Amino acid sequence: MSAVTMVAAINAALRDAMDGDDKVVVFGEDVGRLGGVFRVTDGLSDRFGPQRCFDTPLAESGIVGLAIGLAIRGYRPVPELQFDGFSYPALDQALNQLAKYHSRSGGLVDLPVVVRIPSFGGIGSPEHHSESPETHFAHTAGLKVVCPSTPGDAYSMLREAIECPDPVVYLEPKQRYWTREEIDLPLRTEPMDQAVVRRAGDDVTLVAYGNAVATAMAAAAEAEVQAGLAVEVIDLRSLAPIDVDAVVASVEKTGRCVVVHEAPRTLGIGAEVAALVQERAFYHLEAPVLRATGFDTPYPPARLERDWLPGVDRVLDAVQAVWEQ
Amino acid sequence: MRRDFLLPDLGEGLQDATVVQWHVRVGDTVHLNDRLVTVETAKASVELPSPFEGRVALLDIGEGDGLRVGERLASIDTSEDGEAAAPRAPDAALLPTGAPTGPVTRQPVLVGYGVDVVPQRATGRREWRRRKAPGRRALDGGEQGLGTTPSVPATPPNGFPVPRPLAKPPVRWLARTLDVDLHQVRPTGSRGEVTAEDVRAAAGSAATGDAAGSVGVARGEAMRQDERPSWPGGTGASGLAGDDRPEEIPVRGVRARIAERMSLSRSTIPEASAGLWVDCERLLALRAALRDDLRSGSARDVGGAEALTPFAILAWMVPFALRSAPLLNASFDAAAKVIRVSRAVHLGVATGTELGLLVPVVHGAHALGLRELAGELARLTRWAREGTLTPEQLTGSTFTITNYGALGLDDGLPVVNAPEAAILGVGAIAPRATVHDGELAVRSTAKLTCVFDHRVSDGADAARFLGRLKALVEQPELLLGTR
Repeated sequence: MSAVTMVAAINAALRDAMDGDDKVVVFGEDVGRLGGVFRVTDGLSDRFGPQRCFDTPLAESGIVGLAIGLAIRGYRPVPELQFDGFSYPALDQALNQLAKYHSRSGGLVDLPVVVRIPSFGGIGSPEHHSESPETHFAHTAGLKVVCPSTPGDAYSMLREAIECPDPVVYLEPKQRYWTREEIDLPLRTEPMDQAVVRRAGDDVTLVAYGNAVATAMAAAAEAEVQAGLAVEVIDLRSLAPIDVDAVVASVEKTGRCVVVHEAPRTLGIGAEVAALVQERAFYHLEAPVLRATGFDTPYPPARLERDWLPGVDRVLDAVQAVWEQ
Repeated sequence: MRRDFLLPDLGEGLQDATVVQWHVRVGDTVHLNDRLVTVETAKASVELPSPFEGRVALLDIGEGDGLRVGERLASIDTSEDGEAAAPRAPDAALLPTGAPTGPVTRQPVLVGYGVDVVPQRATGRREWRRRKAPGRRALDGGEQGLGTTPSVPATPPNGFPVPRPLAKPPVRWLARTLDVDLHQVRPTGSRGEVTAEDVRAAAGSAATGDAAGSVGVARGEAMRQDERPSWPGGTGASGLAGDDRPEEIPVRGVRARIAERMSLSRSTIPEASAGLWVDCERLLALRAALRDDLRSGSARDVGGAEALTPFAILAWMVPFALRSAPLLNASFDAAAKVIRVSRAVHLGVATGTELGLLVPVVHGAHALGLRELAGELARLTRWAREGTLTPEQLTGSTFTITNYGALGLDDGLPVVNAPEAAILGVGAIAPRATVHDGELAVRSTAKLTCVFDHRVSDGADAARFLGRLKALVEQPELLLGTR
């Protein structure tokens, strides 16, 4: 066992996948010579050569389009879009082509593409670098969207995503890039379409993913200290599809649910979880499902982001509100 | 009648075309889809078929001339009979496959099959599900149960609308389960809402005898205990003491149907019965193991785990056991003097509902996997209680099981579901003193009873069937050798 950072885990997953299958190719802005702005692809170009890990022009739509073409010809491309906000120029290729080619071809053509996107805020970066793009992808049928919150999951889910015959959008919580976990690589955690209970409790269910899992865990610990509440934390891991059975099983136990995410509130993943919970667990609900989220504004300048992001206090406000219903 | 042929959109949003060659002249007779004209667009040269049948009256555009989409190419005098003159979309013959050719309902557009110009209506393919059981009242009052007096006056005395009672969803469910009308409950919650305690108190004060206590555990049980009709003319002791005339309950709907079917069965079927005790320890262990696996294993299916009851597993074993006695999965046709042995097992499952006994059918039970059958059973049971079963889901069974064990009954003598040839009754699984391996032991056991049409089969058939079922329940691994 050793303390592995999420960056190292993702790097190892890419390296092991490329070792195992020479059709796996990695490309994107600065992923080759530089090794990625977060060092995620460090050493891959040296190890596998510029044919399999290479730099692209600053043209995200072209990056995803290239991945689609390579996949049609039998490759397993793992393109990186350097930052969340930079995924928006690629939405045309992602939503109109990547998501639809399989059904458009009547199931004849698989697109085993994994689009890696360092995502979310909290690192003091300028605009375009702190977006939460998940809803755009999760709303588009034909794409799987996953988001690990631990180094072990980051490794396992990336390996599984690369093996998956369907396109997967793999969102990396960059604020957690340097969190460490004692693990041995390679490892397999739960299948990537399953949610995981990170902390068990009978009083309130907190649903989170990505950066927000750590926030939810901290809030759950505070709720226990301050109010003696046993808060259950569910790490969704997969945002499309959502493991609704896991969420409903928890809410049937607690009767109270709060969803936490950085993305703005309107039409976010929290809205979908709330809808699913009231459909499936209506008669178990002791309180309305609440959301602790970012605000419905553009992402703020870095010096304001700590106030904008849903922190422990905002989560506790919601936990207390559902508890006191 | 003179019909105009307008230039249709010949490609994705092409706006114009040039006439290359006419293939008809004014005065020619044309049939539907006859070659009319060749036009050239920016993308291709296209032959256009005639969308009408009749005589060419006008050719507007000369060869070599251009025109825009929607402009008239030609006019055709259609034949005089009513059929041909029926109104049609102007370029109906050129609309994509599947486009309507009836009366004009769409306005053609450049891309796609057109814009609806009449309001959308139901397809007629869907039937409104049957209404909820009359015994179930709406949560906030509304239609009342059998014989109960409406709790909310149609016109409130003060003329103001009656406010909807406040209550959390679990409290509403509790009220529904206990048959408590929230309008009749005094709320004690801090926000003026009805609490669970309020509902329990109301149920306790309203119910006759100890009914409320027993009803309180009814949620989620196989049979609800509040199926009995409520007493009209008030509840509890006052209703009984004040009036000793018998209360008359009209026999109609499901009750009438049950009466008819039971009478038919007992008057036409000479029935005999047989039964035996089975040891259920292995069955319960199997169910626990499967549940654990479904809850946490790689094939995780939490909902499926819930549906996997001991009864569901037993029901799944029945088609295997019926192979030992096919005559029990049959029907007797007295008029034709023939016994019809069914090759498939369509399993009827007697289900208690607020309406009365219903028998939803698991079609093709012999071909279903265990989880499939358990899931289907759970769905059918739920829909039976909600009163939303379709006629197909209530007919076609070849063999029926009744689970009176869920009511806590050890034993019963069910009535054959005519025209079937047999029915299986399943008693309560409970720990009982029994002889196991030659020793007195406390083991979970159940009594299985088979009632059969003696015209079709004999005691030996029932013995083979029950014997095989007992073997499967007590040694589930035998199922591995069945196929």
